[in-house]
Amino acid sequence: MIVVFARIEYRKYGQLAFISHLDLIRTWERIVRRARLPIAFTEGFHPKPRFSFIPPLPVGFEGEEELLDVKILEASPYVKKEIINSVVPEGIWVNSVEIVPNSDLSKTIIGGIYSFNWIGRIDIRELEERLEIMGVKEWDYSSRDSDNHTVENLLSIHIPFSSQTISPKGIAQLIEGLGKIEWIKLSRTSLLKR
Amino acid sequence: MPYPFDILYRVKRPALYSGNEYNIVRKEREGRITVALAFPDTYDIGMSNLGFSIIYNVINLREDALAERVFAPWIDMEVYLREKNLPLLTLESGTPVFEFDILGFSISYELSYSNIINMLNLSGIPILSSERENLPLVIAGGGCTTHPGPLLRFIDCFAVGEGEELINEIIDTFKEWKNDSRKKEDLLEALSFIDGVYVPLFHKKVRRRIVKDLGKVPYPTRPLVPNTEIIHDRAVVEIMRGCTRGCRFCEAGFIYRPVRERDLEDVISLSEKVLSSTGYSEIGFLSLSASDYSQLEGLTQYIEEKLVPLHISVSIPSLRVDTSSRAFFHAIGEIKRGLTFAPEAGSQRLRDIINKNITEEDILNIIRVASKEGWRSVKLYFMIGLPTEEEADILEIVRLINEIKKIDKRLEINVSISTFIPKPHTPFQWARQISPEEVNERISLITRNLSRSRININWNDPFVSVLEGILTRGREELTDVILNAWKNGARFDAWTDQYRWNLWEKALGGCGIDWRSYLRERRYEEPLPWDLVDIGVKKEFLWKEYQLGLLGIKREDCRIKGCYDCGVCTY
Repeated sequence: MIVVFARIEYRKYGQLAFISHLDLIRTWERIVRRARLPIAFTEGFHPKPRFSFIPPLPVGFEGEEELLDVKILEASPYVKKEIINSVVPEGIWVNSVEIVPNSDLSKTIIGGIYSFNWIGRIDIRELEERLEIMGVKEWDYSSRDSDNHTVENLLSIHIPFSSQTISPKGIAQLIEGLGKIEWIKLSRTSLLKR
Repeated sequence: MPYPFDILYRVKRPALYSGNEYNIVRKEREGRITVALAFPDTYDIGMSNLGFSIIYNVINLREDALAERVFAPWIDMEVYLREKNLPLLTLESGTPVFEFDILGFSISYELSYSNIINMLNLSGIPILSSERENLPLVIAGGGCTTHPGPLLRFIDCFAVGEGEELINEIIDTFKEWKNDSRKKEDLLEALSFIDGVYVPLFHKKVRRRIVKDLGKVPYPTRPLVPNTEIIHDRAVVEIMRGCTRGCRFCEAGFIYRPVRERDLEDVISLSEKVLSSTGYSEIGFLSLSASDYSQLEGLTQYIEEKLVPLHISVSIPSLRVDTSSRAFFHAIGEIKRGLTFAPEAGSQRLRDIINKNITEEDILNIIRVASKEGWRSVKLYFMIGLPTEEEADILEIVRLINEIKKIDKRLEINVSISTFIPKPHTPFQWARQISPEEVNERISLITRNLSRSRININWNDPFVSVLEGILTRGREELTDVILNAWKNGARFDAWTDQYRWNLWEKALGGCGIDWRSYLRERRYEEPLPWDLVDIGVKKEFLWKEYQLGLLGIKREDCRIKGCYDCGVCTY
């Protein structure tokens, strides 16, 4: 039996940003069953599809280019994004599917670019100071106002998965701590590949 | 998005409000009768309720109507909604509940009454029927509508009994009324002529609606698949409705009569449809007493041949474990979940009184079978406070647990003790409920005498049972009590971490009500608050059963022994 992996690149968006990683796993188990993919099940009393994920999105974050490998028994022609997309709930959308021989996500995907979008004024210098203390090396703004304070902003930050100290949730809390703001959107826009 | 991102980001369990389930139904509102189906508890509980799912499906099958869902927001969500002055919204379209034609509550337990009030208030809808001039029409269905006393002034109309046909008649009537756009009172009057509808305004006795043939009403074959874990997270097929074992304390055993089985062929076809439309890997075959399903053997064969190979695990919640069901446990094979079993009483004397037709030898045999099949844990349910209970009966619970313990040294035993609450429309509806002081005495009698090794034991807060008893056997005089308890902060009374008896005690005292009077025994002659509902079982039958019970006379299932003339089959 040839065992291969279907590498699924998908978006997690809208209300589904609020389901936890465990919920997401359950949701995917049901999607692959509905799509009737030729899944290789785990052994044991409750066989489950074999998935490997990249480090989970924090609750509340959307993901634009999320990746997931699922073990399948053959490179079946039915492993197609159109078939999967016909059975996804709103909030999951498959961008692409490819068949790969090995599941090596943990080696090749080394970080993510996270974006933080809010309404409200916070002090930019203070933010940058704190980011540096946290060890953040790269960030970028979509806009800033003339007095060098932000009012409505999209901040993208590069966060390596290897980092123990920098977390997207931590940065969101940091931004919240700097002023009265309202969140518009939080997301992982892309992945950093080796 | 129904609720703003900013709020969802701040609440503890945002997934409860995110909806977007696979199989969700979204329709244009224009030109349709719109129904908001409300469940007065959290999403994960409401979504596990089959009745709720059935009604959602029946309404959405209609071209001219739509149903959307709303659940009770958790405490933290309520704070944000009030802070931001946002009304309660439905999951499907994020429409405020007050914009619907009909708001329909599904009410299955009394301890959710404060949540009903809260949901009305959060929706910006006046709480009392008398204060509501406009739509939505507020209706209620579910088990509690067979004893609606305390809710009579909050709900415009009750749909009593099984809803598959009834809800369509309600919507038809509503539609006709809406086309003529007359007064709300005309609508209520028209509704009061429907068999199964109780309109408090007209005080007309109501007959419970019963579906004759389960195969002839729609079943949700494309149920919603939640994206977050719910209590019963699996596909569900109802194999049988009703139970005639006749346990004298059991409400479900009377208010869902008669027994109606779903044909095996139908069960199989529904199973296939539900599994393939959801992708679930577990299925539950639902009934009140699966062992009485006459086609259990065929079902077992189906499970063995079709479901096990597909790695679909199976649960049959109400299956009695005995030698005859052993084949079944083999069929579901390695899946070793804990065994749940309810002896209800410790002594044979008391089991005869409540008509739990099981002997101690049966009970021990069940445990032996389970132990041989390799099950590792067993959960036992007992009740205290049953009619005529004495100290000796309580000590028999302890003795029985010890006997069970001896069977298998490795078995983990979980014991759950609840307080008997006399339920409307049962033979014990007249009985006395024991006081919280008595509950504490009897619990401590058990805990003092039971060696706790390998045994986990838990019991309810006695004051939860008091409130349940009050709301179960109460009537309209509780209107202000519920209102005041809610105003003082009562929410989610069924949740032990939220329940506060002092709020209710204060509300009862404030209304000059002696709560202890609700615990008393009722006389046969006195009118009962739920006499306004005819469930099809005769009151004289229930009384006779009560008297036979007190004499310790058992009555076997009428499907085996022949008719006792309870009345439901000629109803």
